[in-house]
Amino acid sequence: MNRRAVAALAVWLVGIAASITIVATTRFSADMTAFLPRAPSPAEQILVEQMQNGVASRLILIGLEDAPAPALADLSKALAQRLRANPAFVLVNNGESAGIGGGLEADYNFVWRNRYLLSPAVTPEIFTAAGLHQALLEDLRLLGSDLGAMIKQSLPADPTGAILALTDQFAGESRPTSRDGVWFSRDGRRALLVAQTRAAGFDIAHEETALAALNADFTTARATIPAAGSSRLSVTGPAVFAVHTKTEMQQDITRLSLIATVLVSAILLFTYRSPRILVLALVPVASGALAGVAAVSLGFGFVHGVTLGFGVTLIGEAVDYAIYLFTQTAPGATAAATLPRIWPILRLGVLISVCGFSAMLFSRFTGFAQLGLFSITGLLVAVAVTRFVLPHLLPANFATARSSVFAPALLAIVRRAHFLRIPAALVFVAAVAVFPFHHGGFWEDDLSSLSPIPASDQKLDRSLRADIGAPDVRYLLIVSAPDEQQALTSTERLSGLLNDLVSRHVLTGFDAPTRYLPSAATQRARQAALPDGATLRTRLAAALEGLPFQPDAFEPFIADVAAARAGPILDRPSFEGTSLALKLDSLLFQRAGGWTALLSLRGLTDPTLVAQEIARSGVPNAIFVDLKAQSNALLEVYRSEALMLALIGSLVILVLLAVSLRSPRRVARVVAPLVAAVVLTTALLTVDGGKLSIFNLIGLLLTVAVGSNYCIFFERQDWRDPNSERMVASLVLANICTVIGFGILSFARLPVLHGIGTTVAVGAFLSLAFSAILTSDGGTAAQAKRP
Amino acid sequence: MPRSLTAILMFLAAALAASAGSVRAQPAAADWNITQLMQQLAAVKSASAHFVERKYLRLLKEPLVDSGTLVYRAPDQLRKDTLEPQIEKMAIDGDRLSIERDGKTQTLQLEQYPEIWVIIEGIRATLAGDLVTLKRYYRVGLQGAAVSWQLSLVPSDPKIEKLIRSIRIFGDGAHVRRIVTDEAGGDHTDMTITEGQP
Repeated sequence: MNRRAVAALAVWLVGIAASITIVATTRFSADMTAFLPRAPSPAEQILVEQMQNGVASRLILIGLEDAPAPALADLSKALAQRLRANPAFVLVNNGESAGIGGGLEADYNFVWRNRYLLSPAVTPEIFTAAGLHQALLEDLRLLGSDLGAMIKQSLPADPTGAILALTDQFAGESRPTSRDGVWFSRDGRRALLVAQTRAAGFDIAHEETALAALNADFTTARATIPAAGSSRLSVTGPAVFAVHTKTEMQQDITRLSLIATVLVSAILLFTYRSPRILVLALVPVASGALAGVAAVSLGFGFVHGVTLGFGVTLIGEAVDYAIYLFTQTAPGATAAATLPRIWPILRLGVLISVCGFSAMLFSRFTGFAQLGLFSITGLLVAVAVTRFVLPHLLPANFATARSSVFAPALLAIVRRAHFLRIPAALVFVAAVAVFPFHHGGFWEDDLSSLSPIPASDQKLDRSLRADIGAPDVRYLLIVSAPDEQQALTSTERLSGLLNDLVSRHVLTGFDAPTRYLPSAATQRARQAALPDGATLRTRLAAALEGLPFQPDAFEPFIADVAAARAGPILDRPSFEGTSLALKLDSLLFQRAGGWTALLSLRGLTDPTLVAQEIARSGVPNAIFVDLKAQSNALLEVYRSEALMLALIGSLVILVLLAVSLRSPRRVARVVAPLVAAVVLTTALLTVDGGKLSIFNLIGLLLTVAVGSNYCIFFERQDWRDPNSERMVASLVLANICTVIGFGILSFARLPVLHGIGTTVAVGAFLSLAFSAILTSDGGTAAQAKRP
Repeated sequence: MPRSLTAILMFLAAALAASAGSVRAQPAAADWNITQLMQQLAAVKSASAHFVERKYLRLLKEPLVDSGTLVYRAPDQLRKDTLEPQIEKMAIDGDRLSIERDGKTQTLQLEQYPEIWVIIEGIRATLAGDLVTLKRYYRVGLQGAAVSWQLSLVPSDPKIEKLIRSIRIFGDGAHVRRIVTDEAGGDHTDMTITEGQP
């Protein structure tokens, strides 16, 4: 071994050791928000934060089904009791009135107790003698009606109807149905619970523990209720999705990389009939993958699970370089001699691939940028190892005799491939011709198609949410303020405006944090509106004049007013033990740099008018958000970005080809098969109403980046060269391995991996096929000259 | 709030039971019993009547009086139209209860309120002559004879008994003449019913 060999091996070993060290300390993440853009608007930023660690992210919706309703009710109670004792959960609500978690009863009692601080129907006018008389007259009218029963119980303590004004506010809220004392879906087939975990939604390790505890508690609780033996647990919520996605990702990555490795190894073993060669062929792959993960870890501080999944493709791709080297080394020649011959083409191929993947580096998706960096590093290291290390590891008299067994047949096919030009042209024209007739839109418009959450889970989530009365919110008002009180004051100003809009039927209702926690100023103003005990007695006596009420009927009222007048005002901790605390925390929260209040709006008939009114109100830092329009716009942004990246990437590749081939004709010979492959792949993906997602778009870019390698080899090939057979054999073998790598990725459950995998597998194969069809005429010409 | 809704249904229960009373009874047999009373009631497919309702409330020095009409159509449609002193229309259709007052209509899904559901089912069972269902929710007592009977319904669910002590229905033959509802708090409602087209 000469000195250069020793140096190359030393560099390689040091690199491997360094990579292993980095990978060993790498943090792996399964957070799918990495596939949200890096620089979202302030409103998006708030929503993403809430998705990651807000109250909503900590909620787990639980459904119990497949048993008779009474058994499910018992099971719900038993499960709730266990979960409440479980430190992983801070709040468990199943509609039971009693219990630590509280339920409707606890909430109602809280609102009742604090009605004089919470109710908008607490003003100085109402507590004058005239105001009280008016209220009592209305009470009398109500008592005589069939609705009388609704106020009869509360009347002695609340003749002014403070609580009615509050319950009216809540009337628009949908609440779960109750059956046998616990929450049920309206059809009575599913008992419902809501649990809030202690851990934040993104804290997958802790959420995993919480979910496991939930499952165990369910099994134990079910065992105590024989009638519920057949029952089934279904859970949903952001944390559940995160845990499922992570588990699926792990399973997919393990399974798919194993299958890819086995398949590629089997093919190599079959071709070369040498375990030693197999191991050597995998050396560049392993080195590349290791270096890729290490580079991503250094560049991003963490490695995403999807990036690891994408590593499957590297198995199929990086092995190509070793295949070119092994297969094109003829008996009697040495690998060292083969290298100079194929190196210029190999180098150009790698450069083109790197250009393609580089475009992904500029994506605003952290996820895509990671995939790009991983592939670039992986390919560069793999080709470098093939070029500088592998020849030194090969036996001195290495040659792969086997490759020529199929080679003559393959070469014969390639030489006759040009006969397919007319059919190929027809197919191409047909593919182009069907695009205008594509029905139902060419682009995937549904953002949920990009979601890693399977459609069935999304469906379960929607149905559980509808049952529990927590439907998806479309319109939001986001208010930012430097402190809590200012956020509440701004919210109160907006609430006034929204109440106006409700009475003008522009919207049917809204939810605001100030319904639960009014600003301190408002609460003090309400306290100030309450007269002292003596004054109230005098006014009430005057108000009762001429009315049939018993003179002492309203003693509870006098006592409650006195208590409310002297009592403390409400703040956030006052809500502990009620489910209102949960609601409040989801609508009012502290963030870096201040406080944020969310107002959710229902039943908008004219969103534009609402947006205008909000803007005109002059309330500072209030943003009106249409989540659906937002997500549609987001999809639009993602798509134009992907399209832009694909175009720029392709353009750079074209420039690279022009510079290195220095001939428009030769460039055309390389580009033509690529164009044909991309067009036909697109046609295949969209056939029968299929739609292109941004993952398909990225896949098309990678088709160009990967497929071009086969085109350059074909274009460069001198068909009179006796090495033609080996060249064709190596290309076919390399192509098979690449198609396996990406093809296996198409079995991944994550849409990002599935989308890219399917596209590149089809595209890479078509690139080779079209190269053979369009570029190999030189072969026939040469053949004809030979005797 | 569910609690007060249960109370409202108590009034309703009275109204429903009342409307059962306007079909001529068949002559009573000698061994008249609850089974036969139920059969007689079951024969009623539609009925209408006038009512006068007196509400005795602890809060008030004197009773509140209102009057109007009742209409029943088998199997599950009921209307109570109050005409004096203020117009108000209450209707039950299947599992929906709606009250129209001052030009506003409030609609409730009965199945969302299991306690109320129990009362409704009890009343429907009475009207339909379905003793099995009636006994699932109430302890049923019968006094008197076919020409003058008194049916007393005491809720068997303790939660509902906390609100309503009993519903007493007075009648002769298939006529319901009077319904007295006693609440746990001491308030009571006394409704007298006069048959005939409103």
